[in-house]
Amino acid sequence: MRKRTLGFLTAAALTIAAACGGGGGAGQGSTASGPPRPGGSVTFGLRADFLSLDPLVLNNDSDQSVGNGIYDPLIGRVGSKGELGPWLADSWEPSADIRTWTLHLHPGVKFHDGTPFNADAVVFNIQRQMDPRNQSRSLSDAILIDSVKAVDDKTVAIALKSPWIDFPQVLVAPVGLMASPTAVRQSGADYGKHPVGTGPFAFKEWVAGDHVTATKNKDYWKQGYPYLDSVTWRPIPDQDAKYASLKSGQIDVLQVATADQVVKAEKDSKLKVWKHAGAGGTYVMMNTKAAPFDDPNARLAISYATDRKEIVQQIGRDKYPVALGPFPPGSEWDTKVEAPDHNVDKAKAALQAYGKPLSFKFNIVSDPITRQYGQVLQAQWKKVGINAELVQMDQATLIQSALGKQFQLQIFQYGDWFDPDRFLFNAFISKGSIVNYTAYTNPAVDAALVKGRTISDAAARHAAYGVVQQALAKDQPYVWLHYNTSYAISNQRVQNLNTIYSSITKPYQVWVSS
Amino acid sequence: MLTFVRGKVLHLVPVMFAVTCFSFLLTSLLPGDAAVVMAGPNATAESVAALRSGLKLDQPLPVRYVDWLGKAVRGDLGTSPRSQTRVLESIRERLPITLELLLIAQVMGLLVAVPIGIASAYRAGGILDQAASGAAFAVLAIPGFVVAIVLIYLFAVQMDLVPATGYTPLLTNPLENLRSFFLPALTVALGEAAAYTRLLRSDMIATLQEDYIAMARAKGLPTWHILLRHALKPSSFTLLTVLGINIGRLLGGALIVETIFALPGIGRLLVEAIYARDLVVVQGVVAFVAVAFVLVNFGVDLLYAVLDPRIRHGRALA
Amino acid sequence: MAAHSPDLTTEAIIVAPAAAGVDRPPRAWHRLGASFWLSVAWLALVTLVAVAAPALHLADPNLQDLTDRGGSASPQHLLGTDGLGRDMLSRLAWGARISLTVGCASTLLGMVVGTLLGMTAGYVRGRPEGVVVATMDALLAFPALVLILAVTTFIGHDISIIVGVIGFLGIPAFARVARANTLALAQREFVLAARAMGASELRIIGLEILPNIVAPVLTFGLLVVAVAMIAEGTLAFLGLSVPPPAASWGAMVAEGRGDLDIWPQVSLIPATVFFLTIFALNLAADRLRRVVEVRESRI
Repeated sequence: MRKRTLGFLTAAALTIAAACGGGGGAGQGSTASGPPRPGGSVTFGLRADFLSLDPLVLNNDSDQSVGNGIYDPLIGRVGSKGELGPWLADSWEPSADIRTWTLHLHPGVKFHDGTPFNADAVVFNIQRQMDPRNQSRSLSDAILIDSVKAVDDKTVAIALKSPWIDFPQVLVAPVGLMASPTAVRQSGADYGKHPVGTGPFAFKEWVAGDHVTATKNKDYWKQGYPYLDSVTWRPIPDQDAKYASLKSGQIDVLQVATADQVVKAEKDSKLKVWKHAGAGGTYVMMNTKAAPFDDPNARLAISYATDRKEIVQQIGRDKYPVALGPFPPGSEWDTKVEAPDHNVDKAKAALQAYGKPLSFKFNIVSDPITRQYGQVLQAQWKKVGINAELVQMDQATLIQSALGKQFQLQIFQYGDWFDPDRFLFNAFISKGSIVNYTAYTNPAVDAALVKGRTISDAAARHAAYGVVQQALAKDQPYVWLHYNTSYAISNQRVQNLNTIYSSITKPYQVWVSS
Repeated sequence: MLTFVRGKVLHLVPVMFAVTCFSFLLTSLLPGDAAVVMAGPNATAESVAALRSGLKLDQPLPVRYVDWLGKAVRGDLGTSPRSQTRVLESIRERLPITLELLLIAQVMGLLVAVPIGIASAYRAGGILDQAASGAAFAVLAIPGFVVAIVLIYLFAVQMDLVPATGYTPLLTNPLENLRSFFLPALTVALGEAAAYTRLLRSDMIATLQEDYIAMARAKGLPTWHILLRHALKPSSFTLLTVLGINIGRLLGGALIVETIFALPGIGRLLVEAIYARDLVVVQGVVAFVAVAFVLVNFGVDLLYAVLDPRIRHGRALA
Repeated sequence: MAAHSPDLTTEAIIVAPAAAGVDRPPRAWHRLGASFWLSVAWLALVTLVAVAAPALHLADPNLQDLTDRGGSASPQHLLGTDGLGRDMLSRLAWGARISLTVGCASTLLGMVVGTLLGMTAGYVRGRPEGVVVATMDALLAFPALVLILAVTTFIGHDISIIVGVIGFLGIPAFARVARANTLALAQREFVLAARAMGASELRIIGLEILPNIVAPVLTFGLLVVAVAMIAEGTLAFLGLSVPPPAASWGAMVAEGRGDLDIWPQVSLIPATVFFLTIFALNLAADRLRRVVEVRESRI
């Protein structure tokens, strides 16, 4: 789950979210009636280029889409709400103290090179991710694992450093992606260019910077899948060029579509739009330990002065739902809490309570869409007398300023999540988390977050997150703007592109009607 | 001649040193580092520290620079931590694309600029000159990405003559390869052609006013002979200089063109590395571009001497 | 390269006059032509508007109207609105300040410093030349993005800083052009003759070399003005120029790029103004040059 505002040159920055997927609806793109037909091929147009397909470096929607073709994860997201389900692991259970997880592997699975998939392979892969010397992009997750060992040929035990009820989501990707140990050992540093997994498609060729092609794994362990004979992925970083490629037939699927492109495609009978309404969101976050936002009135003023509807309708072309808090409407975690929305009078009242003129620096990432957000928000706040000065910076600088708590207010976003623990814990726990950018401190929230992480009773967890939601609505360290719906556009022959959580596609289920 | 060459090679060393040293310094000073970028949205203090230590970011700057330099002179440009790929590999993969783009663009540009520049200068103020000048001014005033978008729309979407994006390697299919370079090279070439035309025309107008040109005419030499054999060489200095600058610059990649046309060139490699604070890649590309620049400008200097032999023997003042 | 030394050439070569009964060239004014005056008028207008923008009663360039994005011309908005519903005319006027300042000032900076360095290198030769050439090569090879990022992060985004950085990055090109032309000129007869007559080196550089490199340097300089203005636009797009909502013409063109198929005029109107200005500048300079260069082509 990415908590980054992306994109320097891509205009789709704010619709991107990586890793896990979100609960919610199937696409407007719908599947033709009739049973899936085997055969054919599909070309996916990806948002960004990548240099390696080693699970150690997979980290965004583009490279993980390819990863989903060549590899399988230990645990999968199945079902319309992205519930965890068996994949390479048939089942798993925690120990009583929720510190050790035991996985039971699906038998009879082979890697593309013929070597068997077994507990030793799992241990190899996970240890590889855990070793700091390998500099895995998923180290932040892997480092929470204490040890992993093979209990027997089909059973693996993973011991964590502290109890974590939602640990299995880490095994969805990329920590859970299984590469052939034999291939890794043989290829050494070049493995990333010749990936070998257990997945529905076997790596065939990689023309550097242009495309990757994989062909159907005839011995795929999931009966009946995949349907396609081959899949090709092409990174096309420029938005307009990507759309032109879709129209000209060079690609079949355009991943990570912008709101404008969606509006265009909806009017085009040759195209269809796929969407996934996820739980990831875009928000404004404020530093609660430094002036002026150490004063809750200042934060409330911002929240009341923000016209989310205007942003969603005008900039977002009405393609994203307005957000007032962390849980989207319809989410099972939402406890219907009263949260501030656009209200000019209340904004002015909050400003009066604050007592001084409110001006500050507003950090944004330097890409075109974020700039629009920045200028629109700046203008909205100006209407009630708040003065924001826009400061552009590149992504690394923005992240650094957030980590170093050197910002006053900035726009940020988080990718799709399924279990609230994934997003809320690190964001709002007062001690021990470097990504609690707002330095939010609330003992009641701390207690609730810990409960949500360590208790398995669903009702108790629900209540705990209700406490968190309430506190966030009152204290407004984040002013939510909207949820990030993932959009993809394809031509009419592509079928069953469902569940594009975090804009990541899964080619095993895709088929073509002609 | 040998002294000339040796002098040039000797000047390569301080240039390399200065460029790589400063770029290392400045890139390291920028806020944020590779560890922070790689740690991701769920970063923990532990993971950032582990990554930083693995990337040796906790060591002092001079030590890290010398470490890099030591390996670089032996040809080991290191491995990018972001992608776990060797820097030399990445450059080698992308260099042919950058080279091909640059070569085709320059050829296109010169093919247009040289004849039109000469013709414009010869009949300065005439219809061709006015039209060519107008066209040149027009092209100069349009940003590259506008040109690119218009070209894509015309040639790829409307006329379907060439692919909009992407690239086929030369060895796989030469025809497809040329087709895929047509639009990007044209985008670059238009701007270069405009500049080269103006520069050549300007220098040639001045040359054509020289007395020896009148003498050649008095001797009864045909116009084309005078233009090409007597006037062209001394008029090429500025054109050649700018050509050299452009080639050096393009060797560092053409970012906008590469992004719009999805060409995996050196430009995108460098820019993405800068934004990700991927120091080894930045250093590797910068070192490579520095060498390229020095060599290209060395070549241009040699050409000056060829075009005007008096330069070769120019002496320093006391 | 023209040689402005009438003393030497008159005695040097047997020349057939261009034409026996050639008329005296008409007065300078008349040779400038209508297109020159039109160009000057446009440039004067643009400069005037840029300088006087605060005093003119223009609409607020930053006032958004999200219900009228990319709107067409109307009584309140004579040139329509931009992507966030702001008045286009007003933004063009305020944008002129940034574009013209950056275009001209940065080019001037690069030109003056670069030409001085290049002339020195090309004339003096030897070690000073080596140092200058090496420094220029190093500057050309240095990744401009790193420099710009560093400068804007640590020093700021003020327009003077942007001018300084773009100008600085233009120095090596001017230096190389000046040096190339100086190298050729320094070997010419009139320079050698001047030296033989005892002229000081400074006098030679100032009176013999400098006037003759003005033409190529200036021609190059005019190209650079266009490049500098476009470069600023690209920088603005990358977030490295003056902070929004302020915008130069280049920035306006770049920002409107994403919506070319929805409201193209948002990009095309500033692009047209930009185009006309560059066109006028080059045309005017070209006509002026034609008048100043008294001698005609010899074939």
